[in-house]
Amino acid sequence: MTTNPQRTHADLVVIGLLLVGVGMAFGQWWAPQAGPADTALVFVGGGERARLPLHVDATLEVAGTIGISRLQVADGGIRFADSPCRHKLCVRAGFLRHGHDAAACVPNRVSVALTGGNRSYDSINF
Amino acid sequence: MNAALVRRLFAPALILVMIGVLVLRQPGDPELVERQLYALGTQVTVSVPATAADADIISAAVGQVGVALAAFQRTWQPAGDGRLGTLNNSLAESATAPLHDELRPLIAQAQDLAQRSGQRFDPGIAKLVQLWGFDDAEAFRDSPPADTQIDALLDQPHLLANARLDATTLAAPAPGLALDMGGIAKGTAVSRSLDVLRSAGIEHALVNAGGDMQAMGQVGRRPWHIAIRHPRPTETRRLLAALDLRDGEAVFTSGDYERFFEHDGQRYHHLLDPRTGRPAQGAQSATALHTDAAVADAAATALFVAGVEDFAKTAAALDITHALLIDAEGRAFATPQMQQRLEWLSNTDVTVVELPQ
Repeated sequence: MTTNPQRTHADLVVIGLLLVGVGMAFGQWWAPQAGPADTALVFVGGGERARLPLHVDATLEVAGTIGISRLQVADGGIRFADSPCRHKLCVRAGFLRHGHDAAACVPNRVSVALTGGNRSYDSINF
Repeated sequence: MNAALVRRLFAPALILVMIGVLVLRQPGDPELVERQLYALGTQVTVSVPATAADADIISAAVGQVGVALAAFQRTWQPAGDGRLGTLNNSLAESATAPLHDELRPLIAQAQDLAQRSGQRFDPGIAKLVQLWGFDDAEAFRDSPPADTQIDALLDQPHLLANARLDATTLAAPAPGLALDMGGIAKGTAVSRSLDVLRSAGIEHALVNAGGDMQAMGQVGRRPWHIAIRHPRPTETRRLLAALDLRDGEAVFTSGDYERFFEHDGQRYHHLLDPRTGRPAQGAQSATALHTDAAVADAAATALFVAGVEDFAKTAAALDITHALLIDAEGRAFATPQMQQRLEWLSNTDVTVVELPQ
């Protein structure tokens, strides 16, 4: 088999089309989702109470309006491990790991928001 | 330099120049200064481009926002001795009650939206909200109330749409009407917050109250770039779609994931259908975009209650051109204008729904 090392116009067209295709595929399949966050901000009543790096496993007890919320940092994420609220919607939210993730114990006025990661958006609607 | 070397260096040099051009042509997105406060029973985040004002000015202005929102909340609390609480107390005793000037514009707007939405949004359901316990994050129930209790409240006046407003009074068909403005007041509160910031000399800001927001100005030379969270997020699918918010635009979403309890495997959420007194069925979330944040707020609720069947009719009745509904199966239904504005971030089955003329 012989090969011709000479690049032709046709080759350039094919390469160009491939590049366009890869670009379109990237836009279609790898559109930016929020990436892993690096820091959790903990708020009580709207005021910042603590900043927790997500790469250091830790437990933090936060005094809110009706009691103590227990936050657990593990495996690069943070969760409400326990909270004094009745329905535990905050606990059920599970681990938060991505930029823009947030959870709140509304009755206890304790909330957690994640920063860092792929912060592609100015704000999140939900 | 010989010709062969020039030819060899040409491609790498060209790539370097292109990268340089790409870097230099970035408009230089300013950092956002974010301030948090707790108001209206939720976390409120104020974002201001760092180039729009000094951090101290932003902090002081956000403090003023907090004061304004606290006063707003006192006025619109459905119970107690605030303006709305007083009105509700009067309406419990009498079909006709004096209407304070401070309440009238928003109640009149809410009534108009209630009527146009075919009561899919109606703030007259305060007693039903209370029966379900959704007025208090700590009070809502573990199981649904008895049908007899719900039906008893449906037999009483529970629709603002059916009341009569004049310059100084609100007249219900009978005593017992009570208003809960939770489905519209957040919109007005967000707008007022932007007014406060504007008065403090800040011309570019975004106020996000518990996930619902309105934009003012822009970020540097670009619009506000926001994303809508997926109503059923997973580890790999956090966001549903992205959207650019232009100056003055508000985007509000109502979802069944905000306040709910589960009983016998069924989810009971806070978005009650005023016509049945029970949580509306058939949707996971509804999103409305409008330049009047109060309209966006009420429309998100109305569209959620409308479900797929009445989505287009309800959007048209409320003059909402930009609307999105995610049904119970996770399928998306968008108006043509909304579809044009959205950049989908997850693999979603989208149906574009034309609005009736």
